[in-house]
Amino acid sequence: MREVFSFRRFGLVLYRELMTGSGKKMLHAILALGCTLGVLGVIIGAKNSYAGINSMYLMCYTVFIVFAVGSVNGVRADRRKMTSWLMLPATDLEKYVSMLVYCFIVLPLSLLPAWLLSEGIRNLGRLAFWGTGHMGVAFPLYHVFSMETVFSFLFMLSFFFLGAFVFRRNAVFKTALAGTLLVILLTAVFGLSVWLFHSDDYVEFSYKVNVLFGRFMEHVDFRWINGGATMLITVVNFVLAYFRFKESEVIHRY
Amino acid sequence: MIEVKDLSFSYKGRKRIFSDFSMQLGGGIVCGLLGRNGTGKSTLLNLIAGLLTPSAGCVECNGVNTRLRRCDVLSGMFFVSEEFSLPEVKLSAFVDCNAPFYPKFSRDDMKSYLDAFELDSNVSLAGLSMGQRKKVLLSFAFATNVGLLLMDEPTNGLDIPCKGQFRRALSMYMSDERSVIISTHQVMDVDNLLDHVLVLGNNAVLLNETLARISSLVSVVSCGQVPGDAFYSQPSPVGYYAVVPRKDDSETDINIELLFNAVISSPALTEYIKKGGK
Repeated sequence: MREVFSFRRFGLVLYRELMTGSGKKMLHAILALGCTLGVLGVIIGAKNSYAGINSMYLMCYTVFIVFAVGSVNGVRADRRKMTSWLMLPATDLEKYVSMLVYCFIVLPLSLLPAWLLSEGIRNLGRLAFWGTGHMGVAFPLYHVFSMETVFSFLFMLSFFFLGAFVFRRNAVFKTALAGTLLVILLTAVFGLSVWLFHSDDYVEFSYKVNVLFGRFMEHVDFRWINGGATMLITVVNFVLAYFRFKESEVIHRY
Repeated sequence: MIEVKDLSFSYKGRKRIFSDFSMQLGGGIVCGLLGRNGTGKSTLLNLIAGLLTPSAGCVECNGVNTRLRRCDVLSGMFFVSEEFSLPEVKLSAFVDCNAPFYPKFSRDDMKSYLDAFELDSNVSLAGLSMGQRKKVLLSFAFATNVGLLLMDEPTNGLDIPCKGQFRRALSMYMSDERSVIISTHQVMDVDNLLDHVLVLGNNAVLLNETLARISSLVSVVSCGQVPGDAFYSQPSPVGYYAVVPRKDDSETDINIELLFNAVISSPALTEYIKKGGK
């Protein structure tokens, strides 16, 4: 029986990717990120303040992860690398799962050494400028870690992951642009339809909608609806990305 | 065995390259894929490797559609493309990362091929020239011991001594169970190795024949004046080289470059060969 997925081959693909593919670049990026945040932490944190540091760290890590995930297929914009990747004797599912694991497990875990490096540099800087009384640890995830936040983050990243397979070049920018245009379009369509059909009694219509929605929300836990919807859409994005990946060719037709 | 069934393919917005193209290539052969620029040699190799999706038809390797990119098919073939990329790591790391995907890969064979190309096995790929990187890739390709090797202009970038090393390495690699398809303009580099020729042109296969059969049907003669029954002739230092129907039992070596020029210039020659000399 034909083997669709082998954990051994999947491991070999992931190992190959880390050792000879994106791994080296990721290491350089992690070091650069850690050093930059460490220096910025000394400057922004000044003598006593921690408030700005956590927000800055979180924003920088988010941007880093978004670009890293959105660029996962970008290395294969090069036809030569795409040939080597497609000819690798592993199933499409194994190659795809290795990219999933790289984006959603390896990359987030790689932020840990970046955080350690940044904290080390920041505290050394504070020690040098202000002495031992002003050292401490900033842990950006402390204030935002919750299941809802993780699901929301995963939801957002899934769009950039899908975008990496739809747009091979400049995927992050194109995905962000497409998402922005989609939101604007949906908002405009909804607003226009409400205005067209209820322009005479717009205020009354809005009141009725709010009352109905409020009554509905009294009987359900919005968190479960929100979590379920985001997980469903996230899974759909991953499935769409897989089928898009299966169609990959050595040339980019779209 | 490679089987191309009713293959059609065109790039977006361009003329169709293949239209209902069919052919078969058996095992244990070295096939030269020849054609003028833009006739689809590299495209055909990409289609055979499953890197492109045909508009119609399919390519099968041992009965399996190559476009499915099944693991068992991919582990039995290797594609040396004209332009390739090697990671900037040590050669040993490259081998450690890629060799496990090929069940028949042999490190001893890799060492032998590297020695044949006069390359040290303990080098860093980052510091190698284009030609040296090509030698590394060729050594790895031969060492995989796959059943099908696809090569697109393999001698491009190789120095003159290395072309002889390539011919020796290819001879070491070949066996009855292995096939090689070489797309090349440098026919002189692989002249003595080919035993099958596939010539593309005018959106069709002009010639798909073994050299043994071709030499049983036609001869290449050197003469002062062009014979009346010559399919093709070109000037030579002593007069002319001409491709004529074979009249006796003595075989002449077929000059691949001359054969190629004759095939693309003379439809009558291709018809004569297709009809078995009738």
